[in-house]
Amino acid sequence: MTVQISSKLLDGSVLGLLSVKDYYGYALTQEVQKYIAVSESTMYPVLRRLKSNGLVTTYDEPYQGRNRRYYRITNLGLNHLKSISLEWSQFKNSVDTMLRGDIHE
Amino acid sequence: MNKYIEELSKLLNVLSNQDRQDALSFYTEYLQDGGFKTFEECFERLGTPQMLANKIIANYRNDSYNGYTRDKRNVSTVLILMLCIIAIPFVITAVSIIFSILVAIFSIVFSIFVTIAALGLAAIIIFFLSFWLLFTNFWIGLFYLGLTLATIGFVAIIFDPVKWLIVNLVVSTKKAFVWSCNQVKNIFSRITK
Repeated sequence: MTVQISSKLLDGSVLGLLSVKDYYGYALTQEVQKYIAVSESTMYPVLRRLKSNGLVTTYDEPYQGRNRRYYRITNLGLNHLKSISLEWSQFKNSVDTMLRGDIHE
Repeated sequence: MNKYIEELSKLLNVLSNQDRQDALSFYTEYLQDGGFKTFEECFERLGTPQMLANKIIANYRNDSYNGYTRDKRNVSTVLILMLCIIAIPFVITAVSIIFSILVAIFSIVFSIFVTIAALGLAAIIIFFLSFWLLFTNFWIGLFYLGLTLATIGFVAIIFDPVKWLIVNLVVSTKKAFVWSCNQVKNIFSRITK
């Protein structure tokens, strides 16, 4: 692995997924792992952080006689997602430019 | 799986009840939803309970460095700092008292040791001198001979126990010191959680 995802980008990625639909813990981890390699123990701190900053809320739904906790993005979370996306696309373009050697003299 | 969660629970006892319960709920659900039933399967996904617990705890400690400032934490830090400043004179007094007591104990023990050693040395010297005394006054010479022999024997017997006592004293003091340092560290980390 040459590139490690920063925690801010990971937060953004999770918010991005949650902007489509609500997920429960295991499903969210699986979904993220479809796109990038993260360890299982990475997701809990991210979700806890998002929740304590009001970017995400949780609700419980019964499933097979126990509770399943779902995560849902808040309006604050959607705003945060927008700003991270913007920052990321600027960053991405700059890095691509340098990688291509596309610099102006 | 239950055993895995149980072990994780024990290792998370440094966290508050709420924090520990949140983490346990998350991972219990995770393991259930993923269908990881045996301890080995849990270990494959999450690592050992110890490793997972370490990551969880480290993450709680990391919170203030993530750029999301939390006012509650700042307030308690200031209060703790004030408390420490106020406590300094008391701590200095307490430490000085403990230190003086230690110095006193060590001086006493050390002087006993030195006295015994000096006694032994003196006895040896007089022992040899008393041989000469035998020629001038036989009975007095014999008396000193016997006396010094008895003293040398006494010192030889008591030397080992005293040495053992000194060594024990040093070891116990060091252990007590390390223990109290750990207690202070524990208290401190609990407060600054």
